[in-house]
Amino acid sequence: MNEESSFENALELNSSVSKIATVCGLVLVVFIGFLIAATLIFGSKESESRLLGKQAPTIAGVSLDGNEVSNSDPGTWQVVNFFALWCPGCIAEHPELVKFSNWAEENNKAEIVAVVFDSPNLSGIQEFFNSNGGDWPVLDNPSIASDFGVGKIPETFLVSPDGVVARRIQGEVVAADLIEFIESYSDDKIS
Amino acid sequence: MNSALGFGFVSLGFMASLIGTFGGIYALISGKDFLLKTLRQWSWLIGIGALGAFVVMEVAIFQRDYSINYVRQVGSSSTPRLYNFAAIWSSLEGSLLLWMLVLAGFLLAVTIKFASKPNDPLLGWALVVMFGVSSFFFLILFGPANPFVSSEIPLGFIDGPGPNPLLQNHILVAFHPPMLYLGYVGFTVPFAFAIASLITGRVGDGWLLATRRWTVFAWTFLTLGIILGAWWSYEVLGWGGFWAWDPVENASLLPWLTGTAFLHSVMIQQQRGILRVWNISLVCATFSLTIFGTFLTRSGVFDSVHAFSESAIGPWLLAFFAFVSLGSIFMIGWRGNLLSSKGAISSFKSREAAFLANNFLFGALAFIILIGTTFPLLAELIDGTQLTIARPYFDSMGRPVGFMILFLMGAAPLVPWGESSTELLRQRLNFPAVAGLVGLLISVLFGARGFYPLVAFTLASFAAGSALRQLFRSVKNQKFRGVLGRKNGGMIVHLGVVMLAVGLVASESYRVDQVFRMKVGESVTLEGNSFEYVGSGDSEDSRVQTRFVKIKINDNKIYEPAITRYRRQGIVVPTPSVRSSLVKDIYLVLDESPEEQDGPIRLRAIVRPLVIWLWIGGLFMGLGSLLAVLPAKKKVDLAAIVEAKTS
Repeated sequence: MNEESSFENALELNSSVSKIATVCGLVLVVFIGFLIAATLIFGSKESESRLLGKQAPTIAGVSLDGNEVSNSDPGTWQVVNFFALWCPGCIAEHPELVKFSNWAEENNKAEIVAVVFDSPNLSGIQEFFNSNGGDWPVLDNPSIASDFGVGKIPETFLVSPDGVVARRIQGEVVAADLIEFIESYSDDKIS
Repeated sequence: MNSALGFGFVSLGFMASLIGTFGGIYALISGKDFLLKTLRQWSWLIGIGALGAFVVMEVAIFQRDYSINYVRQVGSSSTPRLYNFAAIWSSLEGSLLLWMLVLAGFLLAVTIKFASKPNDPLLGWALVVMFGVSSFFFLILFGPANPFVSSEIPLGFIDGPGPNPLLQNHILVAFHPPMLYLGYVGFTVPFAFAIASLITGRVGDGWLLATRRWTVFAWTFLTLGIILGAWWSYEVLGWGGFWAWDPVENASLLPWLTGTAFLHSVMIQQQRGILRVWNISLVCATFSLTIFGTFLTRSGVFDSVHAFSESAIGPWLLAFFAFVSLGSIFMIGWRGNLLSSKGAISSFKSREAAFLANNFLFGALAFIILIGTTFPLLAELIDGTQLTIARPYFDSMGRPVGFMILFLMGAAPLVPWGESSTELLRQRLNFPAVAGLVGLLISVLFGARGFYPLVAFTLASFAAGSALRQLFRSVKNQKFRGVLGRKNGGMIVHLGVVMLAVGLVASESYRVDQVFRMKVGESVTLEGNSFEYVGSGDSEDSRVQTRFVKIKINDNKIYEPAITRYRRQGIVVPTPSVRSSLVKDIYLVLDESPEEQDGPIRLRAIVRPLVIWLWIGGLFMGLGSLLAVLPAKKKVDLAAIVEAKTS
């Protein structure tokens, strides 16, 4: 009984209200600061992949145009792009991939491997590439997506020449951004 | 066209909200009555803006207007009509349209309800606070999460993907989000009146009376929304459970707990005039927690079953949460001297003491859940530890609190306000105590074992006894009106909680779960139920490919758990099949589907007793709280208003 009345008093006394409010306010400020930090650190999506810094999962198979594709001994950067034609972002980013692919061919720095993320109609893909440009190999093997932990497309992984996943991009890619990343990454390695 | 029209409606609503907010502040400070009267017009304009924007988006989704980016994201020609209607809230921008629509609805309802007192500053400030909240949500819709952004349809784009598969395979998806929003957004009304009472200094009971029904209404829908979410999780996700202590689930529970605490402690204020600071804090905390919960859902900070709604508006919501919560605390501190009231709780054996204990328990439970939800983040921030706080923590921390809440639920309605004699209490305790013992006996007879479950069943029966005692007496005196009014409706809510508690404890404690490898024609048994694998089959339409297996339960009816592949999304989800009865649920889900027709399968069978009582209990909670807002006696409101004026 006494305990409860003192609790009551503590809540109701004039000066205590302001004091308690101040203390609660301070606690809340700390809590909000913590939430801000959490948002900054965990809210960005790129940090999430468990693959970052690890050896990339195997990619092997026959591309839609009948060539063997493998990442067992790349010796160059590989850009693994998961896409489908029903995905608006994937279609939107295609010109950027074409731009990147032109740069990569000129400089001999990278190759693109595209993986179809589930498309009921594979024939449309060849048509899509014919009309929109792009001549990189396209694989249709659902297990690659699950090995890379892809949930939403478009999603793209940058695999370094030594086969390590260096970056994961969820959402649409930008050619200039890919190029800059690869250039600066190589510089770091050399220095 | 749709894009411009929709954005026009958003702009209209945004402008009206801003003018309402700042014009209202000016009118109230300068005391210009003729300006105050114009506040109503802004409510209507906000209503038109919100409804218009929502309707335009629905039209765009049904027209498959793929020039709008959002429609490209959630629209599809293969989505069935109902899910297409629900597609609007399957992703962030559209769900904010729904939020805004609900908020505008509440704003208009408040405007209409209090139309007779346009010059009342308390109402004026409450409207201004609501205009302020609606300015924030329109701002989001106007800028960072504009749903009407359009762009040229990319070359080769034929059809959109439709909503996330998990959002188009059960009818509950059409109800869970709107219900939850009615609850979340509904708490804006008591919050607005609380802040208005702080600003005007009219911190008496007027604002409480004015918003009591609104609070109960919001609480009802929040309750139903949470329970429908659990039900959806159970029917759709295929893991056989209904509550995963997922951060977003927890986030919905936090305002529910503080709101429930408020609904009880507000009665202490009305009866005794004390606890004003506490009540106003609870209202502000509840509203702040609804924003906090939305932040958790949208920020992408957590992995969650709601992760499909991640977005970039996290920082906006966090800023709004900081503004609302710190602002409330500041206001309460500022008005501390007015809020103080003389008087204290004099007896331990009084209703007010029981309610205070109830508040302490609900507060403790909210705190336990808040810590459990955010601590892993803290640990990872500080030293990079990946920590998971899961079921065992919540179970072991929540269990004792849950038991105490069940006990109080039985005891509190028996204790009178003010002082009471031990003799009286003993007499009133008779029936519930006997009910508790009978409950224990029945549980044991039906084979219930284990210490915790038996304690839970005993306490639940005790609480049910107490609620039934009140209802019997009241129905005897007042006939059908005996189930109306706050107290009687409240007892029906209590009965709902009892059913829910019993369902929860039984289904968790006596769950049997086994995986069987089966070939076609084989039969297995679990807990006395036989399952025969009759065969498999395929079905498909333009949207999904389904491979189902036919399982005959107890040589009787055939159930068809399946694996469903959503073509557009390329996602395969198991679709469970559930046989429900009042006694037990049999839950079948495929761990491995047959690779060819009638091929071998891995079938998971889960038997859980009394699951259905969770949903029935939820229904009772909703029903009871609706009965609680109907007047128990005629003209009770008039009496209450007179009482408030004289106090």
